[in-house]
Amino acid sequence: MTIRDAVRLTAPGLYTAAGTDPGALWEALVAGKDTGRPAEFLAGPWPETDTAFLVDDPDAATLGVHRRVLRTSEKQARMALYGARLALAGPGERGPVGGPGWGLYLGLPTVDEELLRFGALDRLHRAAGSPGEVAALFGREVPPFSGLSHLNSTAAAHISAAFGLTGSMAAYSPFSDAGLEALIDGALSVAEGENAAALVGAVSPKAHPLLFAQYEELGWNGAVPGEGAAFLLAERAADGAADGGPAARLAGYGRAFGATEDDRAEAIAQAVHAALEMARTDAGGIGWVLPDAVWSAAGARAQRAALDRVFGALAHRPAECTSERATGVLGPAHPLAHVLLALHGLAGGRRLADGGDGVREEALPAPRALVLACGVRGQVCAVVLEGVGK
Amino acid sequence: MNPLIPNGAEHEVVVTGIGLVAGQLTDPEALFDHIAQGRTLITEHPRHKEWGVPCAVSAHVDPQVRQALEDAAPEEAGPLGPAGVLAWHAAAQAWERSGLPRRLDSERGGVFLACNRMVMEPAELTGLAAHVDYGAGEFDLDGYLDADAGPDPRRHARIQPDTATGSLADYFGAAGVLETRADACAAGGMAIGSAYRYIRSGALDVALAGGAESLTTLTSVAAFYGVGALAPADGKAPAEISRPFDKDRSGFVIGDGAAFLVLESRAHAEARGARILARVAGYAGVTEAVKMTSSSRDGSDYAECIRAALADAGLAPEDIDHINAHATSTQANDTCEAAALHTVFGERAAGIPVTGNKSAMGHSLANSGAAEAVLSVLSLQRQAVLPTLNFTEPDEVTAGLDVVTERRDARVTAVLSNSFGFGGQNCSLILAQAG
Repeated sequence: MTIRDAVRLTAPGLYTAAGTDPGALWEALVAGKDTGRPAEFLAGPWPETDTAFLVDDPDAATLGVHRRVLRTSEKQARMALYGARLALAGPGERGPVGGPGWGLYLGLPTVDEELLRFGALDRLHRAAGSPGEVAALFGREVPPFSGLSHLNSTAAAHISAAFGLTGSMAAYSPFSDAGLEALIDGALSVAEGENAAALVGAVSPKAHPLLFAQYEELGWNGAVPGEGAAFLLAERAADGAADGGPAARLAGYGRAFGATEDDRAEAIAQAVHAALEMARTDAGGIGWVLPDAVWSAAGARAQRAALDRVFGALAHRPAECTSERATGVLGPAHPLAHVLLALHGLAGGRRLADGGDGVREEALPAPRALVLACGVRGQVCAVVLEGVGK
Repeated sequence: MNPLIPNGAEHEVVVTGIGLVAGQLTDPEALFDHIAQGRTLITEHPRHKEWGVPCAVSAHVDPQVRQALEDAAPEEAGPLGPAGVLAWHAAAQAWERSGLPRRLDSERGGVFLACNRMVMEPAELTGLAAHVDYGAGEFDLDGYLDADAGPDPRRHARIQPDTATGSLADYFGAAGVLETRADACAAGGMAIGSAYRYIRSGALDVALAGGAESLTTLTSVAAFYGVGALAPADGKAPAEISRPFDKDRSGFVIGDGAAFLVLESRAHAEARGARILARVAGYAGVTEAVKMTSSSRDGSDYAECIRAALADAGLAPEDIDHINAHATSTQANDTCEAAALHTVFGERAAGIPVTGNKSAMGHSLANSGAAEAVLSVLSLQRQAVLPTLNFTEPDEVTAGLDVVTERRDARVTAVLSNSFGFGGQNCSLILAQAG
């Protein structure tokens, strides 16, 4: 038995600026809905936009947790917890959730932060030059639980605690490839019998002034950041989607690495070919491509060249679409948001096609979708999803 | 690459190289000998002491050693941050010792690195603070980026945890699977465990797996002090502060370092005539559901993890003859771990030598599990167990364990190495004699 036969991807849970489920995102994309919000912390002529795709910070009631959880988490962890809650709502209705057979696989961003509250920076500016005063300021002003909340793993801890997950786990960081690494390894853990079910998810960085500085220095092309979380369940095929929700097979996956800009297009093409081979299909068997929301010019060029290489010879290339115009760039969560869109489309036999001035909905000509993740360092993951119907 | 679902023909996973940097020491044997002599890496941090930082002790990497490592990294390594430099040295050392060719150039090699996120330090923040309009609550990003004293344009590339992962994969030609793990203090062990699983399934032949951390900084110390995790000096000498399992333990001492292992399938290693140092016999990496700062005090969650690793290895508790404990020296963690050891090993717990390496080398967070795995390999090689420094008297829960206090020659055939992260990210590795 292969991973394709052994595992079903079900239970989508999506939290983005477009709403709280893949259907809402689908509709927002088709309708061209403006889901951006003013990002008031930005000033000056750059970046050119003064909006970002922000989400509300979930409160304790929304998350279904005690208020103290909010003290030991930051927004990233809370978005992840909400995404997990959305995903597990359906499975929770059809039976108990959690326990030793329930694992957790996460893609987590790492955003360099100031740790001092922004409001304390003026005092830091004045204290500069006096290390003792600076140290004292840190002692007073560093938030009391930041030693916990700033660990990459906080999201995993709170999700495990909220849902009683005690199975095998892994957390990956920091860029979009981490989201698909979580999906591949989570699905493998179910296929290999390590877990009965694996909650797979990823979260974006929280939009923060220093996120812009970080992206800028890594070659940002001006793409607008977004916030959100995308989760799903990898279940044994025999157990999956008993609630009639959308489900898909992970028919194939591939990984590759292109260390330099010159290598990246080839690496992306290699990853796609590996995924197609594992899925026992070829470029013509793909009905829909969801490229990564690559946010560097070099990365975007490489991805375009790779897709041209793989699909260029086809008389009818599969339609492409990213969620970027309704969600912004979601970092590790972006490819998983695309996986959820693909589940939605595969279940209904529809796809989205990105035109010059909008997104249109079309019939899906082949029941397979290709989702890509291209990490900033050149790490590439590609997955082929195959519909299994309702 | 097409990982297989286990079909009974699993591949045995062996260790063929180890590398490490910690404190002023730059190889595994030096650290093993250092601890064997009852010596510590924990010292006063001169700048933190001068600045009046409350917990001004750490197992930091000596600045001259760090500079030498930076100078020694080849240009092809690209921009490496503080943790990346340490990772590079440990990984290159492990690779060279394994006898593998300079480049693998195969999709059947991979890199698995554990590393935590960095946070901005005061000097960097001061540069940023000049561009904040506090009245309007706005940050002038243009001004910050364009300033003469603006940020190092390669800073973010240097400090991202996956930068070293990519650099190592590129340099050694081992890019079949790249994983940068973010499982808190268990990440080092989990990176090794993940590599082990990929080789066992037949997806990879070779993996470079380990961890790196460089968080003995003002910001990190302030953050961990704020949450009450760091041990206060309380008039003790730096060397005496970290005291795992001791009744007077009061928190961990933060440390830096990096450690790597080269893992291979036995078939691959034997085909090239490699010297096999040990086997990775079993692994469990699990999450749990108690709370952020503590696992179940009865040790049941840790016990489940240990049992899962034993089951994975096909071993019984009586097959384990040494325990390299997570042993952070915090009240909660050591209590949970001791209870778990009693639960799993029962009366036998009193007869299994236990060591807590963090007593001497501090807690290097994501790196700690990798460093302890390297030291466990040396215990298997040398048939000797390292001491737990500063352990003088147990409390009610830690009583009944054979906490080793001086280097001890012992029969070591299978080592249980634990790593338990904040928030219940638990890892147990079982390393065994090469056979």
